[in-house]
Amino acid sequence: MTDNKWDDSKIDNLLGSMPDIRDERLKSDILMRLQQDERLHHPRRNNVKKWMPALVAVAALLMFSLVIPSMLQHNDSAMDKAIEPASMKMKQSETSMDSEEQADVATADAGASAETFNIATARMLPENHVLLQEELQGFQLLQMRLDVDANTVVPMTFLIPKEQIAADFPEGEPDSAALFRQYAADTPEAELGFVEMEPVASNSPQPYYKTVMPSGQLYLTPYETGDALTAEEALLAMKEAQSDVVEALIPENITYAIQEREGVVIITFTEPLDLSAMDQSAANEMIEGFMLTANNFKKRVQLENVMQNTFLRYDLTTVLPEPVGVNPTYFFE
Amino acid sequence: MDDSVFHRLYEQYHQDVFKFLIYLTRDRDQAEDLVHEVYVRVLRAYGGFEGKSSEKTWLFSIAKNVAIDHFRKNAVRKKHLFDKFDWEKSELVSTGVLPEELVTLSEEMKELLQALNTCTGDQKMVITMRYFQDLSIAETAEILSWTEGKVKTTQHRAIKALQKKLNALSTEGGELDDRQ
Repeated sequence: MTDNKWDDSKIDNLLGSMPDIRDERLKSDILMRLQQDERLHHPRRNNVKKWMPALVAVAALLMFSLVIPSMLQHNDSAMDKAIEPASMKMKQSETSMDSEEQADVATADAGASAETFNIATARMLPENHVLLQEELQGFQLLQMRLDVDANTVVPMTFLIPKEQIAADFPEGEPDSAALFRQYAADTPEAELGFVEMEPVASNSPQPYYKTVMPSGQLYLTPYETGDALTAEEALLAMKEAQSDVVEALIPENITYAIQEREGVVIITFTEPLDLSAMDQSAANEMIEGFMLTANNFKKRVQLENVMQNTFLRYDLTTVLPEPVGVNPTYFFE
Repeated sequence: MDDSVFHRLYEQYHQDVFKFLIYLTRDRDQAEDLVHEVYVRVLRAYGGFEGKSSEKTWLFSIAKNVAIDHFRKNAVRKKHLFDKFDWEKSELVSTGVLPEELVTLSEEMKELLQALNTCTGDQKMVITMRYFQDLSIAETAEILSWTEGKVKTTQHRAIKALQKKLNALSTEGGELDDRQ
């Protein structure tokens, strides 16, 4: 105990005077311990697996099948064991569906595989943040949420080639819990810049914004405003970020009005919108943000007063497609 | 494993990362284990590092994640809870054996560190980065994925929280219970 009054200056000075504490171990000992760590000899469970954010060419080149598993609340102890190495967390969720039920959601078979993926081509194009129905063939989905902080959660869709799953599960089609145990521990949440990872849970519909990880990777993310919003309110709320962590997807100079017609949200820009004058990635993020926000309300989007008829993979003369996943990330062996 | 990457990272950042982790954990053994974990994650991810942030802030963001994972595991283990661990609002309580460098500090410095150990996770993290690591506001913001404004606000609140805790301690003559 001291008798001194603690003021800002004193605290500031003492904090600034704390001693250096050094690691006294030999560098060679630190290196030796690393050399003995199996994870560095056989990264990603003895395989050269790689998760990579979706690039737009993936959509054009891949064909698919779909399962929409979410992580379930059964088999906790086994889960804990599987999750621990990657510091992930599996959250019990009342909203979880039975795995077999979910597996039945979509098992449409596909033809081609991920072998046609052309990274060089893909990297030259704006990244997609929305997964469309026609892009699912050949993959099973693992839908997760990654927590950035207390208020910001990034929903992610991990796509695993069905061929990979067939190789890893020769005994038959795995349920979603088995998928989680097999693959989730390999998702590089820290490398992606996240704190933790857990299954996707349903939230109240919220507007989408963007968040940029320390790695530089950009994700579209809903932000929980705490208010119950209508679709119109949410689409208009996208103009202004409600948080330090997220940024608005809509440039300041772009304004628009919202109408609803038969389940379709019509977004009419106040001034004719020239997408070619915008940064292509930013324009794509804005359009996909509209799609995702409307989709939260089970609605689709049509844009009006845009100078272009098409933009990247979207036909702007009609209703935009329904997203089936967000922030797709592909798993490659 | 690419040893040359390790050698370079060791020379440039090792002592800084170690200091960051030992001030968070206040336990040499734990800090050594966490530094190892940081290297593992960094070396596994190094090939994919795109340089969109600086190498230093990328490395510290991984160290921060490793530390939070450590505190989360401790919290889960201790409380047998599996619900959400909100590191910003939780106390990142250190429970190990104090390193000698901290045992021999002046009483005031010890009290200050004890008070810091009872602050919320966001406050402890920001104070550690700003004062003990000499990271700039911009660097701290990048590591934590915050705005610079949030770093400044959190730092300000942390100093006020420390002041309140320490003045209460002086007045009441009690002890801060930082070893839960």
